[in-house]
Amino acid sequence: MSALLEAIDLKKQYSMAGQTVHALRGINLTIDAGDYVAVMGPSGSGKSTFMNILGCLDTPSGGQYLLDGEEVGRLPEQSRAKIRNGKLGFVFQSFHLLPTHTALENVELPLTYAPVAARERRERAMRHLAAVGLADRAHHRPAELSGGQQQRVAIARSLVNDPRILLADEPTGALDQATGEEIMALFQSLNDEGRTVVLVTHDRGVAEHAKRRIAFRDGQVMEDSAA
Amino acid sequence: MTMALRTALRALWLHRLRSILTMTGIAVGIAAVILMVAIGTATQKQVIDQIQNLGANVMMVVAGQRTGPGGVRLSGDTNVLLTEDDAVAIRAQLPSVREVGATWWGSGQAINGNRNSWSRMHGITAGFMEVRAWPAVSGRLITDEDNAAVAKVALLGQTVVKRLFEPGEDPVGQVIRLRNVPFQVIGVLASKGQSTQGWDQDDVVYVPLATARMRLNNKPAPQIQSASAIAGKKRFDGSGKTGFQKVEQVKANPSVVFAGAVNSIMIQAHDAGSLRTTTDEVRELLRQRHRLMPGEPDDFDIRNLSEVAEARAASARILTALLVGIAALSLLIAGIGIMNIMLVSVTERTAEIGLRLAVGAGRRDILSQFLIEAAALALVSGLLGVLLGFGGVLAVDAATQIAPRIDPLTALGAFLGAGLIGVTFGLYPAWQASRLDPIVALRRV
Repeated sequence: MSALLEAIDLKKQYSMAGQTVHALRGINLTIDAGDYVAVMGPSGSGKSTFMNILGCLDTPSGGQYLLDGEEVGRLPEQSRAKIRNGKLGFVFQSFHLLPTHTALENVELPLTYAPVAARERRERAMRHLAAVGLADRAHHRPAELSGGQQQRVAIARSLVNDPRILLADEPTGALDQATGEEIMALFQSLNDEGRTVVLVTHDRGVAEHAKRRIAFRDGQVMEDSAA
Repeated sequence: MTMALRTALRALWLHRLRSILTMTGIAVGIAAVILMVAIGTATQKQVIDQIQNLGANVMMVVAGQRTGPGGVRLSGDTNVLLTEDDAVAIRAQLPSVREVGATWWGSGQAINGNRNSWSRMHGITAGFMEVRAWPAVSGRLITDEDNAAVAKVALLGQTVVKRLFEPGEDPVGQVIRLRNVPFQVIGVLASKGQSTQGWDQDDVVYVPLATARMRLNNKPAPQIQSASAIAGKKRFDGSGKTGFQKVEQVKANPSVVFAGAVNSIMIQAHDAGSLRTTTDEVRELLRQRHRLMPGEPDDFDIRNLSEVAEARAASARILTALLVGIAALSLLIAGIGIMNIMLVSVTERTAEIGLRLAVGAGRRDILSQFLIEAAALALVSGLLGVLLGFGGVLAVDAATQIAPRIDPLTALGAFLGAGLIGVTFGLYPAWQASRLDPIVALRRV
């Protein structure tokens, strides 16, 4: 397997109330294409900062972040937006669907910034909605969908641009046990199809689904099941 | 782009009441600008019409009051203070004067068959119509020859024609009676409409000045003085008395009408710039001719009609500017309303902005999204404002005599102006939205 994602001595510090906080103290990691990784750790361990840097939402203070062999950590905002749009897919704990838009339009959203022609946008969004079993809910608004359905719309949205990595932040955190299991099964099948998945979770049960577990503590990797 | 517009309209629709309230502010502002420009333009046009109606660069000299011994002011009627000679002298001696017309004011009944009219009957010299820039629509004007011959000819205003003749009948060449004296109609004047003071300028009959004095005088039969007084130039006659002494003589006997007496002299200067110097020159000349001692008050009034009209035009312009200014101010306030609502919108939609940034929207995409929303809000209000403004113009047109006109260019300008206001006042909130940190924004739910 080839390295899809590589963190080399990745550091992040920021000042808060006059004090320098070391969120990441030199992370060295490699994630291969097709891997399924659970990132764990208590709050303040640096796992969220790590995920934000992986998601090109934040920039590291030191070290390198290579995606597909390309250094992307220090790219200007406009270029990082392009990478988020083309290579990354996000799934959030609170779904983050636009309430005024239908399920289909929510799924289309990343493609409007690609840009992709309206017709193709619609077809691709519809295909991904069907893949998560919500073809018949395409024209419903989020308020008319259950939590599980909403998260599935969000997953369809994260996949519509065919990303290299799917980043999920506590994807089952807002769902009940049974619905959470369904969502985890969906991630499992996506990984089975070859999709690289990185998810952040507190939940050991959720983490059990992953092939590899990485535990963070005090800005460092404490444990890596692959190591 | 269509997607962005649809998103914008949807966001506005989601907060209907809020959008409508903001839009009302802009719509009223735009409507006010359109209405005020329309009213201002119409008012200015009215004043300009009045100025043109008056004749360009015109001033009028009227007989004033003469102060008798002991400071008693005497009625203008009882003395002859302004003469035809004065008019002739002004014309002859002042190079800045272009034309002069003297007038004798009277009134009386005009009769044609079984129709009659009580109208002003004014005696004029040939220059009068020239000064007033008042053409005849048929026939001819009064000439120097008419005055010299004391001809019984009359020039009719439109209102008099309507009263004395059948519709379609040509008055020129017909004989009517003025104060029971037969006069031949030689011409009909163009319509002048209302004067600046509000009376009907077309309700008038003009006859030669000499004829008016002889035939249409309200006072007892004129007692004609020596011929030299009429001829003018020479102030000394055979009697050895000066013209001034003669005036004194007339004043001593109010029933005697001095042959050269006129009520007013209309004077036209060559150009507007010289109007003020011409006024001074006329005053100087008349004081000299009337033998007024230094310190003695004028026995005549010079009314600078053009200046009055210009002042009126200037005040109309200032009023228009003021009204449009206030209207523009209301637009500024409306713009602040847009900014306010857009700031609220950005705050409310922080999570949405975070998500859009996460899925790949650039800063510029976010900026344009909110700018489009602000512009859409403003343009829809602008359209409403234009319609409202048109309604206002029609209402003012129906309810008043101002007759404002809808100027399509103003409407287009106001509409685009509304869009500009939307973009301008939407810029700061949109910029704020585009500067949001996606990580912070995504934490908001």
